[in-house]
Amino acid sequence: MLVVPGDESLPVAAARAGNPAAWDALFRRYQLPLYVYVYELLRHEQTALDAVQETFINAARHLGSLRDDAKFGSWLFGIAHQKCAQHWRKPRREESLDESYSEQPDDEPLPADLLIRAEQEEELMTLLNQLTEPHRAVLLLHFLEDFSLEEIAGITGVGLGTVKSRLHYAKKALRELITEKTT
Amino acid sequence: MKTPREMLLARHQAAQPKLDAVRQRALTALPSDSGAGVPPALVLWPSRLKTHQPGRPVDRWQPRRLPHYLEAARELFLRPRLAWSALAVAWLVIIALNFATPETSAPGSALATATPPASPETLQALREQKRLFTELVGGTLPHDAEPPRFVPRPRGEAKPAYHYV
Repeated sequence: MLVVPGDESLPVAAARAGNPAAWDALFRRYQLPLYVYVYELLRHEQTALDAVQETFINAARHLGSLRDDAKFGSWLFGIAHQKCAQHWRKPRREESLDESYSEQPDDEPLPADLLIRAEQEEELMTLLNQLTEPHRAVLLLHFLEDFSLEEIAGITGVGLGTVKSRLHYAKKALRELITEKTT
Repeated sequence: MKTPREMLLARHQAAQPKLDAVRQRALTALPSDSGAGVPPALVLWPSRLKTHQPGRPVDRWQPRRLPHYLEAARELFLRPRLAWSALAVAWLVIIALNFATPETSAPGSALATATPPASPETLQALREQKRLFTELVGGTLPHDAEPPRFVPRPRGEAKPAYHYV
């Protein structure tokens, strides 16, 4: 069973004071989720490792600009997202499609609440691979750290409506996959 | 049964040793004064990191520029600042001198207030001199009495202002 410590005892204040042990704890807490996020977006191991390392260095350099210690996680993922954005070169043609979903009601349970059976893992990964980077990013942020919509909007640098539409689209596709396989 | 989070983390668990090495390298690169030197107004939120490239220094805080009309007003009033200062000093000197000088009255009024009121003997002597002067000149003495009062006359004695033709 994989154990990743929670956010209850994040030593952000100690890290701001320059405590290396605090930085070690913070890096240890986020290294794997950050790597998963970056890797699933970039699909390249070495690039993902480099991005994680640059994210850590940038975070250590600019932690003084973080006002709310409780938002350290989303702030860190935001830096990592920018590292990914630097590697993306293809145009964002799906933006207009996103907005068409933004007004739709979405009362269905969140995908993070769903449980994935062992035989569904590959299908889930296949689905993730089929999504575009923006949709995949929103879904990964929701899966990995259960960020709020506002936090995801801050990380990805898009509007709240766009985040809602992307999450709606990704959830719909995931739900269809799971219902197909279970029936 | 796993949650999507557990499934994703488990899939990449093999990368942990490499991530540990990455962490160690990041720790060795920690700045001695981490977090210092960045002004509080600068929030390096991801949207502001868009222009940051690896190897380049992160944009530092720059003072905000005023709008054009405020810049123009500032130039208008601040350019002759030496003249404004000289005028201010001159007014301060004038005000200081005004308060420092003792209160003085006009000379005429001082003389008037200093003269005591004339006595009845003096007035009588003055009248006598005036009468003698009038006699010498040959004129008539102006009456000191009150001016003649208006005496109404009958309407028939009144001179008409126009004549009938």
